[in-house]
Amino acid sequence: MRTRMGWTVATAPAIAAFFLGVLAAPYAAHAQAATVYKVDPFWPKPLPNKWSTQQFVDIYVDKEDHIWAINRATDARPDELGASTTPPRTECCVIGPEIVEFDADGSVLRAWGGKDYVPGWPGRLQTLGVDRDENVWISGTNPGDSIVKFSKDGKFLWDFGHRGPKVPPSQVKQNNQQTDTFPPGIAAFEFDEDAREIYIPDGFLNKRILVYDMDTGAFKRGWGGKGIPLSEIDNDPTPPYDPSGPPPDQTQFAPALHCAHPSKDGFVYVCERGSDRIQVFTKQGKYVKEFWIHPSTQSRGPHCGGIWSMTDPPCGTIYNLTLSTDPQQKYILVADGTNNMVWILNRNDGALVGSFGGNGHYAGQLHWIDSIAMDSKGNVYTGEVEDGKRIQKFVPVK
Amino acid sequence: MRIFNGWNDAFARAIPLFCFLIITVVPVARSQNVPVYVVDPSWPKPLPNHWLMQGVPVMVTDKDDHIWVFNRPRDINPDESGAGTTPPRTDCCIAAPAVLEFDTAGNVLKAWGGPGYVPGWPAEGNPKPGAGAEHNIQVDREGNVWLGGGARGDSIQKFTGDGKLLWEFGHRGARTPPGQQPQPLKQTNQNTDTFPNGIFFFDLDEDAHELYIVDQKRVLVYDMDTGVFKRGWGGHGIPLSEIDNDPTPPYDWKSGPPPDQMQFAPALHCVHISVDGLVYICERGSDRVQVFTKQGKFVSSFFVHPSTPARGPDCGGPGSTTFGMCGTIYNLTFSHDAQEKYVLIADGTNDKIWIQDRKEGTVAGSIGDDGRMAGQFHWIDAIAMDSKGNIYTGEVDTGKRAQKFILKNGDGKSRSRPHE
Repeated sequence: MRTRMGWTVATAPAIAAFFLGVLAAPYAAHAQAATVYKVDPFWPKPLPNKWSTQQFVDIYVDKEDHIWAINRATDARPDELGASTTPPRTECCVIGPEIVEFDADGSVLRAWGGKDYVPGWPGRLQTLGVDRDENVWISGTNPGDSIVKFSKDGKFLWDFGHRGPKVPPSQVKQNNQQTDTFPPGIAAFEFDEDAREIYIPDGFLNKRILVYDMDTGAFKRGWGGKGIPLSEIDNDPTPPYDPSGPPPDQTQFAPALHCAHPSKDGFVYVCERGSDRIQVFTKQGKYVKEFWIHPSTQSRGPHCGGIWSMTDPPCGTIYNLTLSTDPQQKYILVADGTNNMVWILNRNDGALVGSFGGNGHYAGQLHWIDSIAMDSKGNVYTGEVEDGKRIQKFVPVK
Repeated sequence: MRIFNGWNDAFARAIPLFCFLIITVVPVARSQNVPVYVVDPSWPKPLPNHWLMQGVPVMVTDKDDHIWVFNRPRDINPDESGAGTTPPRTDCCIAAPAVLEFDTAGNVLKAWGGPGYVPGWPAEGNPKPGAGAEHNIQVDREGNVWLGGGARGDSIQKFTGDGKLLWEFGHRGARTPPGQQPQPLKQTNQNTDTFPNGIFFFDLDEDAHELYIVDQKRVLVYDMDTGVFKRGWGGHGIPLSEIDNDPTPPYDWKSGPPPDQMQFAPALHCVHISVDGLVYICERGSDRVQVFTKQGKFVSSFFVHPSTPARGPDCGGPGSTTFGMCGTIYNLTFSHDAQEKYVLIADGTNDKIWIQDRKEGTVAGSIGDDGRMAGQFHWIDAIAMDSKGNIYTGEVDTGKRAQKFILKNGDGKSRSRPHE
């Protein structure tokens, strides 16, 4: 059941039966139906200036309901860049700016940034955020990358620092106790602007959540899986498990940690992709609860492929999540780039109440969904990496 | 002498001004009533059974306006086939059967075929044949399905619409033994007994009971009932005996369009017969369409976007991280008005459909652009048209889609009479 048809698995078992297992509902029963979404296949408008659409690895909706996205250039292929040769080989395309701002209609409002835009531009962009002052923060996952802050027009404002050395990734080792530098780069971050804090899930290699002052960059606190103190986090590889069953309920976080998002009511939601799990904490790092997401999908171990793998599929179901924008933030929407679904959970009890997507390249399907965001009207935006290379908009229909 | 029906410098300059930025089309109208097409983003409907469509090198429509897609199941990658493991790693998917029949509403009517389906299926025994696998499909008036493959030893096989094997064209070359890399083949443009490279492209002339095949640097015609060779010719209509067996020389694409050479420049990417009995050959290696009589007499030719490199060392195939692709003529179809006023050319390098006035040879418009959104293309390779004038397209490499474009008037309303 593909959501460009406008349905989610939440609507009724009858719908699932009607669609005859096209995308079988993964859970037999659902709680109260959540919103149903329908893709807007004509959002966004084509990019101007022959800019190529590349991997939309992160999306953030600002207070004006403008959609900011990373159009990551590092995986562009020559067959997509024929207009950049001299003379041009083809009509389209060229590498465009890596930071793009869209309005709700899908028009580009601002676009800037890219390789060598400023010293310290991330080598491989992964995350962006837009604060209340409409400053744009970006980070990347190459060793030596950090967080850099810009005005919305792309003027450099501030560098978070804490950079590790620019070395090959294979030379970076786990160290979950030091909080001075981020040798693997900074894969993800999120603000808590009321507290002027920035949350960093340091978990592409390490296994911890760290909190810094978002104005000074000073370290404030951190914790590991289930809220253990930094001193108790081991620096060992995470053991594999038998994927014929769900991942074990272990104390240590299982990388990769793919997000940390504070809620309005003071909880922090951590994407523990290596365990198919969301862990919920207080802002002080006290463990509250956890939700497993489609744990029959292998979450880590051997036979897990990265993007472009020709031998193994990807693992883990929690690539990112967003909290719904209603006042109570009633739902969690999880981007699952392995099943290529958006799972909709009750934030309160974790019950699955809906889903949309499906593996494929058609409008409304997903290929390596990696990012998700919601605007104040409830529209959902998704971004795809690998050769998905799209940003899509899903509109609530009830 | 350079035959240059389709393009002149003015067009070459003007095209870039209007052809990008537009998902679905609507170039500047060069004449009245230029067809306008709008993508139908909800076609086809989701495939049943967790099937995932793979690369679509060729698709055709039949007399009932059903759309037949030949897709390559072995293109599937591990990140797409998680439902095929035991236990399933993910909710979806497995590769769809190789032959898929759709109605105009996008429902699957029939689905069959795939590796090992019958002896002699394309790229037999090769788990990852890539582009040299399932390739060409045609459906005759009786509803029989003809399939061709592009691996060593492949031929053409004829099936009922339900997938029962009826007949085998034969003329097979040698298969590459399992586990061995195929050795380079010498060109043999004089041999008409076998097709050592397989048969990538063919079409039927049912009135004459003839089967047209493009191969190496030539067009060959066989009896479609008996498989007996009838005639053949090379570029500009030269006899088979005058076709050289040498590599096609490269040219400096940065300095100008491909040279107007006598010999065909591979790859030849289609053969189609128009309503008025002319044979259209996609000469991708020259960015050119050559037009012949059915007896092989050269009639005309036109270049299509010849500023794009057509061949040479700077050409990348699927997955290349060093070069883009070359050539602008991946396939073509005719508009379905009575006169077939337009030729529509699938250009997988520019990821556009060029709409060309067939008689005037002028560019009338284009559809699509490079990208992953509905109405955009990534490696368009297949194009077909139904009797209502709707266009169907197929994409290879990682595009892996079939799309539908609906014919509209300039005001966006559906046309009752296509192209008139």
